[in-house]
Amino acid sequence: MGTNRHWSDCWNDFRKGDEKAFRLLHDEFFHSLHDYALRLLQDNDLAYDAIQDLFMKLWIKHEVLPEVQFVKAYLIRSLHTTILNKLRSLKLYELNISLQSSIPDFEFSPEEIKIKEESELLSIRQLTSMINELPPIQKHIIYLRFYEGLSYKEISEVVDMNYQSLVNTTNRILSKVKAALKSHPEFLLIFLFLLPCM
Amino acid sequence: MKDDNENFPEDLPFGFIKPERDESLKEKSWDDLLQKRVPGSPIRRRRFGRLWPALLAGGCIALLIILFSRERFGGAGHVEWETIRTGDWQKKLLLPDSSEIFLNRFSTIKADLHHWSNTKREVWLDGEAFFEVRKHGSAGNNFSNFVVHTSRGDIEVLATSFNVMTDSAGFTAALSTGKIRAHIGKEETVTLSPGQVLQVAHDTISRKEMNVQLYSAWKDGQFHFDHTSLSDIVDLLKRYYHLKVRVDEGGWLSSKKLSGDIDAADPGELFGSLEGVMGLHIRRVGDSLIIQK
Repeated sequence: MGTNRHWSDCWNDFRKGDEKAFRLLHDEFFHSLHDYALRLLQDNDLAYDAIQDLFMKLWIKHEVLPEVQFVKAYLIRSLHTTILNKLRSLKLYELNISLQSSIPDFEFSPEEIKIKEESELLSIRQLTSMINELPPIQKHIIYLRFYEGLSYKEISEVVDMNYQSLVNTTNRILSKVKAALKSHPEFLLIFLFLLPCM
Repeated sequence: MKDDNENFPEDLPFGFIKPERDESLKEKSWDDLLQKRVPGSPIRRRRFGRLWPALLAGGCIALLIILFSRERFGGAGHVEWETIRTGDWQKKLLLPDSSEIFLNRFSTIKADLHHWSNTKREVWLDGEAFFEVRKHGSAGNNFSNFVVHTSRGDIEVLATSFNVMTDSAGFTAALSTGKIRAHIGKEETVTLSPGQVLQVAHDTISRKEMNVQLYSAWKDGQFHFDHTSLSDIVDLLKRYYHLKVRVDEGGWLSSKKLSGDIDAADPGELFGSLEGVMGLHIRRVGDSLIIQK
């Protein structure tokens, strides 16, 4: 682990051609990048290849890469571009990715979500489908903020959105989720009530 | 990282359970980056950088060898290339490490068989071949460095059997067992698992699940068809036997499908079987094949 500062120093060493720094960056961010690629591509081999392509490209271009403040955010953004390019050259029909849109989307499963206070399976399912129905950009933000733990400043480097609207959007999503969770007991009650009739 | 979060009281009502991290995958990723045999890859060049005086000396010797050698292969360097070429026949090659190559008709393989070593095994393919690569489990994570070069990209082999066919647009690789990875251009990588076919044609790359046996049946003098359309069969005849194929009233070609196995040691036998099974008239006139209903 390390601070943003530490990693942007490491990044600068790498830009100068330091292979050790390159390895440190690879090892530090590999899992985060792999999680991200796997979520978008839904295929282990493709995700792995995307990571290889990304690091290969970074190494080839290390001399012309910019200085960056948030290395993780920069890498995730670069990976996103790499994935889009990969999808463009790879024909889509063989992939499990939803064919409706050419933009890969984030999808969450109930198994990976935990709720703070109570743990009724039903509400987790509800919550998951609620999150999955959000617009792609909002899901992207949820992923970066709450799965990856990026700060809003970092997220605004990944998605094209300014700081304030990022914060506003997130708060809107959160209050929506909270409201849904609060109303949940009633929902459950209705559900139980209906059960005998079904 | 908490630097800009103070003005958001963020009591997140839910959280994520992250999957367990596979550290060996991370190690493998780094090893793969180092081992990447894309020609001109800077990581390699850097590693060789320390060796450059030795390389320079080697280069001088190599230059002499090239000057005197019969065969010179485009830019690839300091070795004496063995060229194996087939005409209207197939050939089975046994490599020094006991890997096998079945070379199809009208194909060329180039390899440096004199300096064949377990750490550096590479061949150049133009045409079609089936590879049966032996694994070298000598050093732990050091996978068997077997590379098939084609004009459109390189295929890196991780111990396996597979079929590669090159053409003017690119190449088609069909994997039977094991794992291979193709490097197309400088930055594009695609990994294949058994049962998958990779097709590179101009700027499109596609990877799909197919009956891979179809792609390598030629080596056993066998043709395996599985709902294969007659137009695909015609393509196969053109490719395997270098024949011009003329089909009278070609409209019905793709609607006719064939399933089953045909054993055919020579083209004549195959044409005979196709005639019988599909109710066609097939005539061979010189290097042309005329197919009629």
